[in-house]
Amino acid sequence: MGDNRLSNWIRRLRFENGEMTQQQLADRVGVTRQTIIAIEAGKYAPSLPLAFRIAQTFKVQVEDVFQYKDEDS
Amino acid sequence: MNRLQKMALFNLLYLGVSLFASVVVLTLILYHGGMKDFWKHLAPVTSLCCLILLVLLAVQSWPNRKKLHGKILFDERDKMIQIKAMHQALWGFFSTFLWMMWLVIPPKLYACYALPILLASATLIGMSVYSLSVLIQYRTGDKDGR
Repeated sequence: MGDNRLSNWIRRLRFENGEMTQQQLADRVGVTRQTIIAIEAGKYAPSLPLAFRIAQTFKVQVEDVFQYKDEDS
Repeated sequence: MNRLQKMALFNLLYLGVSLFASVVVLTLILYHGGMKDFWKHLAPVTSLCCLILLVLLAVQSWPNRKKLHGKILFDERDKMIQIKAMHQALWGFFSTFLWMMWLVIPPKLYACYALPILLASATLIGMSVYSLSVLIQYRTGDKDGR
């Protein structure tokens, strides 16, 4: 479910967007708070539609929220 | 803790209690009536356990309510965990069923006795695997990246 190569800036983006709570973000993107916690902790790699919804909530590109670190690089 | 986790915990508690109760009942039967009575009562006891387990399974396979008063209760991660746990439970069920069929059931045991025992054991293992898998996946997450 999780992927160590996938990191994210969700926590930082939440605080930059009016100290949005995990519950508020969860409600906006249509998932449970548990899922937001798991994504932030890197325990769950979200689906592409969910990743886009999160990015749209923060009005940024998906790459600004999620970073993929290739093992070769 | 969401509905899936609560159900998984309840399953494990129920399985533990029913397993203990079954062992006690069957030991008493064995003690008072001997081996002949034991086989006679084994099928009804396991059939009853199996029936209750099937009712539990039916209740749990009822579609999860996705929203309640605007609050999301079930999302893509829950669905993925549930599906993965179900796959593992099916593996547990069929492998237990086959293992019991070939190794544990005595060769001369009548099929009418054997089937409930096989089904009950396989369902019990399947449900245990399902419940443990749900609890472990919520706690740790795994690393396969799917």
